Amino acid sequence: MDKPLSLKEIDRLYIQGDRNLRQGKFAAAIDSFEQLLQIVDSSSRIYFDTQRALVKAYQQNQQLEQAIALCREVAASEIMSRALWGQNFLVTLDPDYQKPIDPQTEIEISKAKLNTAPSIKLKTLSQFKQYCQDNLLENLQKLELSRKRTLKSIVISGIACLILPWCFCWVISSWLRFDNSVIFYLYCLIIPVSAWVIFCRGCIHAYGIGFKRNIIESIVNFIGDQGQLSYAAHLFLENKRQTIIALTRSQILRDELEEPDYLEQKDCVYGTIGDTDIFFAEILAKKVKGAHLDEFGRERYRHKSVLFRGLFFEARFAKNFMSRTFVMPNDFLGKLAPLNHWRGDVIKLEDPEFDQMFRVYGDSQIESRYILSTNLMSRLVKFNQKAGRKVYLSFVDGFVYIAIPYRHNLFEPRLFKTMMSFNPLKQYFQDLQLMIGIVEDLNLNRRIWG
Amino acid sequence: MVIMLLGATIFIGGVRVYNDLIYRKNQVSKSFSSVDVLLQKRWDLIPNLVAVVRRQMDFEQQTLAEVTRLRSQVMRGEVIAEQRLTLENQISRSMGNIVALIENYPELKSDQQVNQLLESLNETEEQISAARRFYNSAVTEYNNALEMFPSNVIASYMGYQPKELFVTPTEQRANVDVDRLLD
Repeated sequence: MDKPLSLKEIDRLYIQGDRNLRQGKFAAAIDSFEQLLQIVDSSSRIYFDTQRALVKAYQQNQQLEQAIALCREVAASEIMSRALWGQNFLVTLDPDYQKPIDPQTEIEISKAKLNTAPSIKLKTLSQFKQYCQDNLLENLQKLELSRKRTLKSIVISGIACLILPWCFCWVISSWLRFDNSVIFYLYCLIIPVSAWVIFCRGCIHAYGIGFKRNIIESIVNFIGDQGQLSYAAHLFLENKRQTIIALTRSQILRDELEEPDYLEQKDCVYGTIGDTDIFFAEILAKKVKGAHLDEFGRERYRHKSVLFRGLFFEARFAKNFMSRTFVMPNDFLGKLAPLNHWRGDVIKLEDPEFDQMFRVYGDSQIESRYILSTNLMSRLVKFNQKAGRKVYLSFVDGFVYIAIPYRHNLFEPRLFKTMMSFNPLKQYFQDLQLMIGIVEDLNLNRRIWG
Repeated sequence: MVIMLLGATIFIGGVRVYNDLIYRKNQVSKSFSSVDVLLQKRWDLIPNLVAVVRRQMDFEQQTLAEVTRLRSQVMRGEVIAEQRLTLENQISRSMGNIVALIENYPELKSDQQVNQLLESLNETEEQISAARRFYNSAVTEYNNALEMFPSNVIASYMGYQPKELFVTPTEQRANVDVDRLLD
């Protein structure tokens, strides 16, 4: 019998399968996922993720029978959220499929709805500290070991990368007796240093996978324990496409006609809080210029400009509206926005504190005020103070979009500082709670009646 | 040459101030008509809501009759602007009372039609509130222009008068006392 795969290898296999799925190599993706389903424990989170990915891979590969069979298996799961996903996806796969109306399930669903309906209760730092001590300590210790191991590998390999070429140069230059040994040494460094950089990236990536699965996901579950939130370090191709569509539709940064050419998204949180479906992720959107194909038919770009880097949030807004409203920081760029006529008219609102922080543009004076009620304005002021950075909002097509720019990656592990400290965890917790808490902060669960 | 330049500057400045005043006055009219449209939307909802809740709310016939009477009075169109504002405020208050009373009738609360009507009514009330804010904002800008130099000179020459803001009556600011309504 084959040796069982380690967690890291399982993760790698999953990532490989997911990458293949994203790149349209469906047969290869199916191979990886089928292999994973054989070895992964059926109660683990990755098992469901694999099932979900495999259903999508089957569907994309036109293997509908297999997709339906697997989806039926998921739909029969004892875990309600999985069963619901299976049933809902089955409806799209099989038009003849009738969703079961099991009274017990209905009761459980309504109970779940009752449980989630009120709102999410935000956690305090002391609660989080207690949670870390009770639940994360063991994982943190393992991570710390892994961090030290990774760091050691990087340092040792780095030193080897410098010393080995030096020895090689020294031998060659003594043998051939030439003077330009420094230049020769620098030439000799090119290949080992490149290999070392690739090796480092691999090490950091492998370390990051464990970190995200064990720490970030736990923090999301801790904050959203009253909601139904899921975390994914990265999402599938069609989800990425949805994010591009959402970002474009939001017009939060550019005109709707300008779609980002390149989008990277990670650390996605999605699900339901109360009655509100939310999604947010850390994204990097770029616009490319001078795209062309090289002699091997690969796509090459002359220049990539960053459109946005930071957190992007999407949720359905509780009020119905037809027009667009943009809320921008009251900075130089915000004041220049009237030059972009597509943003609409300036909306002057009556809250002086809000007016000091934001500038509002929109298509309709009344609808913008209908959306930005006095209550919402004061909530936005508090939210902006809490975020402590620039916040962009747009209300388009019944959705609210929020973009908070960051210059660095938010939910990445620290390699050069210890993980056995509360400070980095506090930062992850505050950033995640800021986004998850938007539903509560902006009262998005409020329905006009009922 | 200097005098000509000065004259041209004053003329351009004067035209600009004049146009600005006209724009602000039109904004006030536009915002008032928006409020009007939304108030009419609310009138359309009232008879439907009254008809649906009348069956159940036997004890509150007086409140329902009051709303219907106020609506007819407003719709006749024989009232002057100030009276109309008072009547609309009374309608708002009576509608608020009905909504509060419905809370005491579980059959009504669970009735889908009532819920839909109340949802529409609430939405309309919020839209009216937004339109009133727009009106107040337009009136404030207009009144500011009437008092500030140099627009006040042109405004007084044109005979422009300051406009009144929509003010929420004191009784509307107070919370609805359901117990008192049921007495």
